[in-house]
Formats: sequence, C-alpha cells, structure tokens
Amino acid sequence: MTAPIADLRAGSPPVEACWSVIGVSGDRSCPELAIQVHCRNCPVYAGAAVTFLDQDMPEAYLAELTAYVARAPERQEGATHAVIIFRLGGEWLAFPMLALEEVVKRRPIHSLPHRRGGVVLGLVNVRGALLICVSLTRLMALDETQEEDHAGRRLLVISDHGQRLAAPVDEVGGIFRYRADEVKALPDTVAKGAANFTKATFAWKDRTIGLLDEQRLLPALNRSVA
Amino acid sequence: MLFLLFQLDGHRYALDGREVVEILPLVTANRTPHSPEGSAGLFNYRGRPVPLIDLSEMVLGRPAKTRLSTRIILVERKGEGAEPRLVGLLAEQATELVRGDEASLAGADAAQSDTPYLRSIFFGKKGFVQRVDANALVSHHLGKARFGAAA
Repeated sequence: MTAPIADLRAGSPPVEACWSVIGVSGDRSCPELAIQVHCRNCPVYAGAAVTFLDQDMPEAYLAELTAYVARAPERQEGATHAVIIFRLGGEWLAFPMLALEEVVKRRPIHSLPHRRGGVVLGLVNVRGALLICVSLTRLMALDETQEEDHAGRRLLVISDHGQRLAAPVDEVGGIFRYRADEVKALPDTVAKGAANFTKATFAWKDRTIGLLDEQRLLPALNRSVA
Repeated sequence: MLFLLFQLDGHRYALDGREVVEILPLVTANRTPHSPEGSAGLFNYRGRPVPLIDLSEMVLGRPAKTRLSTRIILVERKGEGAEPRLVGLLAEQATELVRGDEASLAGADAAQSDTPYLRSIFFGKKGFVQRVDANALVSHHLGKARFGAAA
C-alpha cells in the first residue's frame, strides 16, 4: 500500500516537534531523555501521534484504504523453498537456506602453502573457528575476472553434515522463497554438463537466478577440500 | 492481558485483545436502506461482505467521525454451532493498547439489563476505562436489529 503521506501531513494540525529540537533528532538537551532514553518512549511523542491521527480522513485516502481492505489476499499455496540469493562476478545464483549457516562480512583469507590456485583459497577466522575457505567461482569454472573490492562482499558459511566451509561471494541479494511451480528446469543439453551445478532457474526482481543443486555442489566442494 | 482502547465522547472503553481479529483502517461501507440505528452497513473485507456496527451511532446516536483515528475493530462472533462470523466495530480513537492483568482489572461491574455488554471498570493511566464484551455487544445489537428498537 502506498499511503499519500504528504497529503496527510498537510492536513494535520501543527505539532510542536520537540524531538527534532531537543530530542534524539535535535541536540538531546531534553531532561526527559535521561528517563525515557529515546523519544519514542516519551508520552509527548505518543501524544503528537494521537494528534496527527485525529485529523479528518482525506477522501482519496479513504477510497484507497477501502480498495486495499477489499483486495483478496494473494494466494500462497504449496510448500515454499527458501534460498539465499548471491552474486559471483556476473552470475546471480541461489543456494538452499537449509545448507547455509550464516552470512558474515569479508575478512582476510590466510592462504595455505601448496594449496594455491585451486578451489581451496585458505583459512578464515569466523568467530574463533578456523574454516576452510573455498572458491565457488573456481569450482564452477565461472569467469574469474578482476577481484572486486567493495563493502557489499560477504562470506557464506555453508554447513554440510557438520562440515563447515566458507565461500566468498561478491554480493548477497537476500533470502527468497520460491514455490515449485515457479522454477524452470534447465535444457538437458545444459543440465548434463560436467561442470554444471545449476538445477533450475527462477525469476527474482528482473533477473534470472540459477538455482544451485546442493546434492552435487556439496560433494564436489568436499572432494576439492580433501 | 492486552486491551485495545477506543473512545466514545471522551469516555474510554477497552476490548479484550483476544477477541480482536484485526484492526482495519476506516473504509467506506455500503449502508443498506432501512438499516437499524448502529448498523453502518456492509464492507468488503478481502472479498467477503462483513457487517459493520457503528459504536458511536449505537451508543451516542451520531455516526463516527471520518478521522484517521477512527478504525474498524474486526471481531469474531461465536455463534451457536455455526462457524464464527466476522463483524466489524467502527470505533473512534482506536489508537492505543494497554496491558493489564486480570487481578488489577477487577472493578465495579457495570452490566445492566439494557447494556449487557458492559463489563467492569478499571482505572487506567488517563482515567477510568470501561471494559466491553465484544460478543455480548454484537449479540445485543443484532437482537435489537432483528426485533426492532420498540421491543
């Protein structure tokens, strides 16, 4: 629902916005702050909200709300599968949440002697535990273009039967739930390729996401670590 | 226990939160001809018609103000045997929730034969609050509507 907030503000009686003068949005000189900690706990703030709500309902807003309440809920039938969506270079991929333990910020990877250039990148420290860090890009033979360097980079901690691995990604898109009828199977010519770990695709925002097959990906990762 | 407060001409009333299905914003209802006092008609709730009772009109004899703070409190009316049916209560200044436990809410019982839906009065932060039994209120209203105000 998109509420015409600007219209509502115009129609409300003027409120003395003390919170933006002496409160948390102002210079914090209000003596009440010591007791209330934050303006949102303060009765003055609550009183301003009541004053704001006590204005006449604009007709356009009433019509909008009537239409909103009348709208039938979207049907959400069938089981959904949760996946985490992430980006590796130019590829947007999804991985089942069930095999994901956590997403952490990027941190230094300590490379291991005699293990350079392979899938194993080295060791990382995730909350005191040393995890083997693997490159999904190398495992799946994706384009290894220049190393990206921005704040959006993350580290996925993947868990496979107690074995924890860390895998760097360039960006995390978020968690998404798809229904079985929303995914499109891959053409056989693509699906049977040896280096292919994608089992299906689905649409997310305006992108096509490759859904990774954890049944093939996790064993391959474990083999590469050994 | 959680209570939803609303007001009628400055008097504060509280509905048991467990009776509330959903709080909806004020919407336009289709008032049917010859509808009894207090009936604000039917409104479309997610594709199904739900009767709306205007508490202001029922108690004060004037329709609820079309304000942002006027809201529809959706309650479930438990019928005898039949599946529960939804009823909307149009209430002014339905903007506040209060917490209270059963013991501290004990107060004078105000139920009378002509207002069987009124329950005990308790003392809230800003004054007296009258508890209202939503089911009794809806039954009372429907009974009046069915048999006419003369009965």
